[in-house]
Amino acid sequence: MEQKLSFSVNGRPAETTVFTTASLLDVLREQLNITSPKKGCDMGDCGTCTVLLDGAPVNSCLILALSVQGREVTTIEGIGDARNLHPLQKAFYDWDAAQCGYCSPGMILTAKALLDKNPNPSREDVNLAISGNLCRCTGYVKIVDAILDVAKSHTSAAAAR
Amino acid sequence: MEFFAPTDLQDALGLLARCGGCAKVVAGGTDVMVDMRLRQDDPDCLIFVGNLRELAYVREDSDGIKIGSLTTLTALNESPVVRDTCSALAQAAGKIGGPAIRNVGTVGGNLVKGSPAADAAVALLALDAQLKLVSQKGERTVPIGQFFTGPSKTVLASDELLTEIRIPARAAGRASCFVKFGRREAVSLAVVNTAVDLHLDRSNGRCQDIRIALGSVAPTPIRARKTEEALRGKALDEATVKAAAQNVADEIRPIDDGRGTAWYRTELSQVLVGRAVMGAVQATKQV
Repeated sequence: MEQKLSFSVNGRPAETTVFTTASLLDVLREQLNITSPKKGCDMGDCGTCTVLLDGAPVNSCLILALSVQGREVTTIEGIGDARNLHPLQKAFYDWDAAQCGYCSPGMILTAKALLDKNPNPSREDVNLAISGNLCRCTGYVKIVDAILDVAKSHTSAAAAR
Repeated sequence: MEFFAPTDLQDALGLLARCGGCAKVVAGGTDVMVDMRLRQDDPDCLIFVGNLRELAYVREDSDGIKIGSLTTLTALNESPVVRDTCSALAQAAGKIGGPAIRNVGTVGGNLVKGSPAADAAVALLALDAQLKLVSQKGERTVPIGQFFTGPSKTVLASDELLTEIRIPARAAGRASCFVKFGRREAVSLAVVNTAVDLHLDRSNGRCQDIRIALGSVAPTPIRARKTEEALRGKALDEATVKAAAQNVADEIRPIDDGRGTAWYRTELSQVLVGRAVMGAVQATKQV
C-alpha cells in the first residue's frame, strides 16, 4: 500500500514514502510540511491547492502523488519570501489583492505561470487563467489589476533594455 | 494495492489483462481521484498510464485527424490542427473544468468516464468520430455513437484501453461549433451542451449535411436527428434555424437534477442548438 516517491520541490530533492492513492496535496501538507497549498474542496473545484507541476498550474488535490516521480513541483515558498518578494507577491500587497489570503498562494502561482507563458496578457486572458481559482473576499478585480500591473512593469522594463 | 506506471503500451495492456476488472486506470486523475475518494475505492491494482507518451499526439493525414487518448485538454484546445479543422472539439476541450484541470486531464479520460455531460464526447459525436479500443487480444474501432450505453457506462471492456480518436477527413465547406451553458463560466458541468457540424453548399448557401449532438439531456450524449432532417437542404437563416430547433424538444429526455430542471433544459436546448448552428455557419466563412 506504500511506495517510495522522489521528486523535486522548489528546486530541492524530496524523498518520501506514500500511500498508493495519496494526492500530491496530502503529501506536500502532511508529509513534507509545505502548507501553502490549501485543502479547500479536495475535488478540483476551488483552486486553493494549486501548485506548479513542471511549470504548469495543477490542482494538487487531483494529482496522484506517485505520478510526480522525477518531476518538479513549485509552491509559493519557491518563488519568493518575506525578504525577497516575487513581483507578484509585492503587487498583491500593493493592490490589496489579498484579504484572508487563503486563495493567494494558488492565485499567485497561476498568475506566475500565465506571465511565463504570455508576458502581455489582456484582461480577458487573466480572467480565463484564474477562472479555476475561487476568491471569496476580494471580488477578483484587484487580483486582476495586480497581475496586469506586473505584466506592464515587466514589459516596459524589457522594452527599456 | 499494487501500483504500476508502465511506459510501454504493450506492458500496460499486459497489466490490464492480468488485473482485469480489479484494476483502476489513472491518467490525469481529474475524475478518477475524486471518484476513488468519494466511493472509498480499494482496487487491487492502480495503473498510472500518464507515462505512455506514445499516446499523446495530434496528427493530420489524408484519412483525417487522429488524436491520442492521452492528449491533454490544454494541448487539444491549443492545437492549430484541431482549431482549424474541427473547431467544435477545440472549443469543447477549452470548456472542460478550468485551466489547471485541463493541464493534466485527457480527452480519453473525458470519454471513458461516460458522462452524458462530457463536453468532448458531445463535440466528437457531432464530428462523427471513431474510437480505437485496444487490448492484448487485439483492437477494434467503435463509432462514438455506439460507445456510450448509459450514465457512466461505455462499451470499454475491463482489459481495454482507449488509445486513439479518429475524425474523418473534412471536406471544404465543413465547419463546426460547440456551445455550453453551465452555472458559471468555468469549472462547471454543463446544464446543456451542444455541438453542430455542418457542410454548407457554397454555390447556393444551403445546408448539404448537418450533425447535431446534445449532452446533459439524455442518459448518453445524443444526436438530434429530426432536427438535422429539418435543416438538411435548407438555407440556414435565423428564422429557419429557430423553427427547426423546436424539434429538439421532442428528441431529448432531460431530467431534473442539481444543475437544472427538465423544463429549463428543454427550453435551453432549443436556444443553444440555434446558436451552435449559426456559429457553425459563421465558421464556414472563415474556412
